[in-house]
Amino acid sequence: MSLSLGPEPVDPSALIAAVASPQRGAILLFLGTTRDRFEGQAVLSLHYEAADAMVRAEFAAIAAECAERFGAAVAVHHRTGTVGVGEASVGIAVATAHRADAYAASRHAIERLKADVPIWKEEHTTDGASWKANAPGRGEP
Amino acid sequence: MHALTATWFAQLATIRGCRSESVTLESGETLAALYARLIPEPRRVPVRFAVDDVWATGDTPARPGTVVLFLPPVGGG
Repeated sequence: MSLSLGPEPVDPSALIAAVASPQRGAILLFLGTTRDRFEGQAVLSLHYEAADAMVRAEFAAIAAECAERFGAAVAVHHRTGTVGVGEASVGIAVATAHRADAYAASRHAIERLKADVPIWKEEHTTDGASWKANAPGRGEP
Repeated sequence: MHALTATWFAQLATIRGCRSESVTLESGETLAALYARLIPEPRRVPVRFAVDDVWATGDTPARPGTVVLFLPPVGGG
């Protein structure tokens, strides 16, 4: 299990390697990347900050949920600090025995992360900077 | 000493002008009451609370010597 938080770029190969095993026939990699526009405004970059200890505990809880519900191994890396447009701010790899559980686990992990994990995003646009919260209710329960 | 450490994130750190500060408690104060005292309207945003890195509810009594985190709506992912 590889759950990390920090300024390092997301390394897809490392995330995949962290969950791969001969017993798991399906691996999914989710990358959340930064868009260049928000409500019509040009986005220059994003800045992420986090409540570190709580994030690590929440990542562990999400991984445990994915293991219990879907038999999934999970690896996560979320960036902190400045993330440029087009770069990945988060990467989540899941591996399960069969593909249906991999899709379900991947979705569960990102929706839980976006709803509950104490990470904040400050969007820098041509008009200045502002903190943006995730929209509620987009994901599964 | 009847003080705790308040830790602020995102826009709340901007409003308070710091990320962490020692706060003297008032008698019988809950976390929600402490938040309302320190972040007056109209700048108050919905928050979740944590005490010593463990989730807590607003009706939790504020206890001296703890570290209270005030967590505004999250934006990760």
